[in-house]
Amino acid sequence: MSEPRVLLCAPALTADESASGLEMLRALSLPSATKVLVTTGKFDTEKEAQAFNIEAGYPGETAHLQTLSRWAEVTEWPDARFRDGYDLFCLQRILSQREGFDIAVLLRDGFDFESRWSNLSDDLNGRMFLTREMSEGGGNLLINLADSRANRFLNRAVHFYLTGRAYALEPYDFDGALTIAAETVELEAGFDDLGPDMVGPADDSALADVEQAVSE
Amino acid sequence: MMQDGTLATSFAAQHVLAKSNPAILDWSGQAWEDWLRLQRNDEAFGGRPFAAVAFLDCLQDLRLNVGLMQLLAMPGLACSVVLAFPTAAAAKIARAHARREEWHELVRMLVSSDVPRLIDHLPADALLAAFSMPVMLDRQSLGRVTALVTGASEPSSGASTDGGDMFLGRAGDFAAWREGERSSEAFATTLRAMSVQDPKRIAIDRSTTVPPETSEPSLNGLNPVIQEFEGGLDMPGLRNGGELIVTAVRGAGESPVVVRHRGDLLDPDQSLRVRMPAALLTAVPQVIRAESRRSGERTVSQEFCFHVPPARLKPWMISAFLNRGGGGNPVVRAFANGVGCRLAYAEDEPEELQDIPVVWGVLRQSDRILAQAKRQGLYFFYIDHAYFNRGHGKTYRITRNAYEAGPVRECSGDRLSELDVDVRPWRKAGREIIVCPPTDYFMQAHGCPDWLDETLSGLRRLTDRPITVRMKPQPGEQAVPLPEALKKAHALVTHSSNVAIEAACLGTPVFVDGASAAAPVGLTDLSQIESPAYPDRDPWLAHLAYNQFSFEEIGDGRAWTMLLDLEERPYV
Repeated sequence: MSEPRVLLCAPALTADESASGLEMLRALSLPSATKVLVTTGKFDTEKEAQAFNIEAGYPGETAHLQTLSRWAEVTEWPDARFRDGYDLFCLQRILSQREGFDIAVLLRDGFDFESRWSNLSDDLNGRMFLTREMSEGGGNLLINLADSRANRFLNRAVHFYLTGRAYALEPYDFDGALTIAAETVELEAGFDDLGPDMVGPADDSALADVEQAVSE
Repeated sequence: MMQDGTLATSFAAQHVLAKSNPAILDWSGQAWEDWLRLQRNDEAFGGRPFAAVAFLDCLQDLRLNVGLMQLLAMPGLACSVVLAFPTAAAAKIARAHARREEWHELVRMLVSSDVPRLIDHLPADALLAAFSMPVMLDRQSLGRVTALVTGASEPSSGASTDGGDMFLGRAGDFAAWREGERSSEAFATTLRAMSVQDPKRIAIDRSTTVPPETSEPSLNGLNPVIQEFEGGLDMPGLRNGGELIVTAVRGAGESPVVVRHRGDLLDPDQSLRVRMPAALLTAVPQVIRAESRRSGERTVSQEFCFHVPPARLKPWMISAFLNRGGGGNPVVRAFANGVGCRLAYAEDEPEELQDIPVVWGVLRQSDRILAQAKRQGLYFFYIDHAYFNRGHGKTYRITRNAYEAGPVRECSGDRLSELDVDVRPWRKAGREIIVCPPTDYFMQAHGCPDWLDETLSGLRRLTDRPITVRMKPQPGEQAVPLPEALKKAHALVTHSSNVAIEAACLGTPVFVDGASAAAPVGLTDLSQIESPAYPDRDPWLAHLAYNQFSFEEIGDGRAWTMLLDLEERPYV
């Protein structure tokens, strides 16, 4: 059985974080892994990883996530909801431009990751995603891209933050937010049979009596 | 009310309906806009008072609440809307979103846990609907509302639709109402019904004849006392009944209602703090009218000037604008972080501004934002390179409603001394006049395309002194250093370039445009070219030092604090 093709994405919000992320990636040597380091401008990855400038193209989403955090008047910066949303957006952006992976890893904690990799990848088997709560994966997120629902899951997860829904979750935690995204995908799947062609005057007579009562 | 378990439900419903029946979401959105239009209309309208509470996770869910929109679209109802959110943070975000669309004060937005207390303020027999989940009113519910409106029946004790996700009845029964456990089957049933429902058949047209209102709430004690208060209104004393209405007075037919609250949905124990829309966050005071009404009749009315002084500006009033390109984005991000304000791209901003803008430079739509701010009479902040120790990542100047620091205010010399500015004695024996023209873009942007030609011809009429034109060096270009170029200078003439500041520090008198940061120590009238000014430069330099900030000061909010503090310092 061939090794899964793994995307290791180290997100970063600043140049300092990119430097830390590079060191984290440098320490890993998973077979068939592509290392991608998020940067916010020019950054020399010393050929240890591919650089991905999240600000290339000037996406409005990162500014919007920051705005939501400020509007929520969260005192700490960066707040956890902003940070998780930002990191997920980085991963989504990378996956929208780079294909051919079986597993995507949002790598936020490299400690002991390599030694646990075998167990983690086994645990991911048959699941859509995996987080710390599920398998002590640090602050990391693993997504099983072989799962047909994975793309929708990641889109919903990012959307969960972009719409500000994450601020409705109290107490907040990353796993809880991802679980809601996964539940959303499940719920939606139950309505995949519905489409615009089914819309019709389903309750056509419902208002007749009411309108008559009002006009009298 | 709506809790974690329902987050996925409403989130999924958004996507299901967007795919299966977007028309019903469009109808819902349009019904909301129609209702808002009515609320903004200064003309009183009648109808039976009705309070509607919708529990949402975020504002995006509003359109899912087809049942609420059906109520709002019903003739004969004067609906007051309360939007309730699970957390304070979610409510604040919704409020900020709504403020940018200028309807945040036409509804009440609060945390779900505060709803029971709010409902307690209503008279026990007040009509009330509450939606714990998005629903679509069925025939039975519509009929019940109609019967209440027409007076065919009196409110009975609270009743709910299947699944317990809607309350319809008297406010006094609300406390006893408990939402039913929402099963996935009940959700599926509702969503399937909404997915196939033709939106043309779910609402009664408002144009339908409506019977006149037969009962009115008591208005005893409604006597608002309104005071200017930190960008809002302080309203002790508003009690049960009637409506509080605040109108921006702009002239016949152009006076939108900006605040509209039903009196008995306000907490009598707390002042009402209002966040005004951008239209009222202007540099000059505006007239607003506050009044209370009952059933279309104005009972108390008071007009007064509303003005937020610049020292009292708040983060929620501000938008900082990035640009797609250019070098200013890091400092704009830092500014937004330091202030805690909205951050967006200038290129994405609609024409009409909804906040006080902060921009970097004049390129890439920053100029459009500034021009629009001026048209709307708004405050604005401008960021550019600093006067001293300039450079990206180092220091920047930030000015309000001007491109430069402006009239000198009393500032201590502490910040100046940290900058180690080389100030030399005035040179009074120079012969040459140095003319430093702005760039072509600057001249076009500032409406002075012929500045150089006009300045040179003016000087030649006024003096026989030798004139040297010194163009702005291009990046990488070798140019004679300014101190060297000014060694024999009698004066330097420029529009508003920073070169005038350097020249004044080097002891060369300057002639500049009135908008220049060097204007306070120079002259603006070229006819005085033979009689330059040699004023004391210390107060001016101290003032400039208080108009520029390090990147760290901008990012941690100290710059914002200093900017507001500067507004209260007296002029020299």
